[in-house]
Amino acid sequence: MALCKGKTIYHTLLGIYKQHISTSYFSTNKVLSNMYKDRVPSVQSIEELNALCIDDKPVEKKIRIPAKSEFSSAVTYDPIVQKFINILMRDGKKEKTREIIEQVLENIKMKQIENYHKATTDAEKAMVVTDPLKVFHGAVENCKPLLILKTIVKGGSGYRVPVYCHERRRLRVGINFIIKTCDTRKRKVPLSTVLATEILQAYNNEGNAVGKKHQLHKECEAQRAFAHYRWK
Amino acid sequence: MKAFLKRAKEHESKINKYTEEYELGRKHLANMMGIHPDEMTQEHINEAIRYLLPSGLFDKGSRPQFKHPKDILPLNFDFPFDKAGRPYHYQYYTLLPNYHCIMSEAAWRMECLREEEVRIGSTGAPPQEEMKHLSEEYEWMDLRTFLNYFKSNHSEVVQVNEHNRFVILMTKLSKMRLREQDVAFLKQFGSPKTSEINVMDTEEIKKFYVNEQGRKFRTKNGYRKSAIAQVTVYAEGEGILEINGKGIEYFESQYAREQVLFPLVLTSSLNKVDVHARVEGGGEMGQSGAIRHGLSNALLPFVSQQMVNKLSLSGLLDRDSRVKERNKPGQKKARKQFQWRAR
Repeated sequence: MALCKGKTIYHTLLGIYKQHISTSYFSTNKVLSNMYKDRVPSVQSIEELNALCIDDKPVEKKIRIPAKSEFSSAVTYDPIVQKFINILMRDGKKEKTREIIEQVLENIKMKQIENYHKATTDAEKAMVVTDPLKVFHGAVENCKPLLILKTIVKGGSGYRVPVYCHERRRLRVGINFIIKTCDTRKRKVPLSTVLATEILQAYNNEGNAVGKKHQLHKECEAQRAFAHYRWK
Repeated sequence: MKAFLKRAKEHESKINKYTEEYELGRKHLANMMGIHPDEMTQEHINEAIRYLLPSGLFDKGSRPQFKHPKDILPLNFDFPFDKAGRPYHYQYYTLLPNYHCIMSEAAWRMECLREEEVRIGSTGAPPQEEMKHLSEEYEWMDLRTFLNYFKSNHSEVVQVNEHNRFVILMTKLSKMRLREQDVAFLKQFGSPKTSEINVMDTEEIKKFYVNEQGRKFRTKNGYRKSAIAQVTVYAEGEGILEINGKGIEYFESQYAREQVLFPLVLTSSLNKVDVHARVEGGGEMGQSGAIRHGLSNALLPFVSQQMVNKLSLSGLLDRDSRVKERNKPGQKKARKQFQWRAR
């Protein structure tokens, strides 16, 4: 029985169960060990922590994955904003990108206050959202696509096939759309102002970042005939 | 048959040789130590060998030993078949007779129980013996105990696949209605699961020392990358923070400051505790991570059990073992490789 990389083995004596081998027995490269293999995941949000720890009962003793260095109980911590910072960062300069995004949120708030004072009636004033985090979350939600094109090779040629994907992938694609519309222009204006205008427009379903999402959806419609290539 | 006879003769000659050498060596050792050879015990021999042939090997089975061959090799080389060549055990040709004997017995019992249930369901007659479900979930033998069970008793070498099959069969059996003899059969290989939970040692958590001036305090070390921190926490304080003689302005970046204050804000003990810390090595973020690790471990006795649970669940008490990866020969850096050339 020659064992090859990535193949599954079936035993049929007392039932069927699978055994997956990740590397072949004939390879000389060692597999780097996963140092977090035996550790249990830890809770990374403060609301969950408060919900879990109500009693005085002691908790089971386990070795858990340690908390990240960005995770803190400060008021300004948000997991989606952290993801945005990590994707925008270049050459490992995190302090610089954090300052950029603080400026962005400040600019959003100032613009919304202008709109608030310009609005005359009370009904219009209630419609204006001044919380910059809510505007940020809403903009990222409007930029997330539902389907993604993936190249599948069949019969020697590659076809682009529409395919579902999970939440993390969609987040990343949405954030990339926002960043790439702002970074490619020849700009003499700092990045924070360009990002602020783009995010405000995305919150209202306008602008170039949301246009990229609509373009992706149209291409998926055009390639609808190849959707069955997703399964063998 | 012939091969078997050959092996038996070799085995006998081996044992005789080893026993002679053992006896000789034992007398020499007794002479060296100054004890009568009849009064020498195995402990004397072990001590002598640890002194004469010291070794730094970790595996205790590979260190030099001096034992009678009956402890190491099996004495009797039994013939598992009779003169005509017919084996005694009915599963001798499977090469693992005792393992397959257990599995087939368990499967046979399952068949008997199924027939009983069918008979009860079709005719409506009461069962011949008392049959009950198992009240608790049973835990089956570990891999290691399983291998030792067959190696020591029957000198058979069993594999991992066979252990998996064993576990599957036993769980299937344990979920049916069982008679007393079946329960006795199952108890050889498993025991009910204990609902005990491993809990953190309360003695270790609640330990603290008392100052000359009567203040309680506790010191703990914190580690991250190549930074080492020594953190002392005084109870019943005002909220003083000191790092290498300076306040929190020792750190310039906002990430580092938030990291240091995180365990205090979680347990809401900012104004109730004094903190003094000493840090060496590493960079800015490494030093702040080390202080956070030491702080959360030193805070434990001065805080309620609810907060201790929070600190342990969020992963603040464990050390971050990530370290910079080494450079390798044949490559430029840890993962970056030289430019590929066709020839």
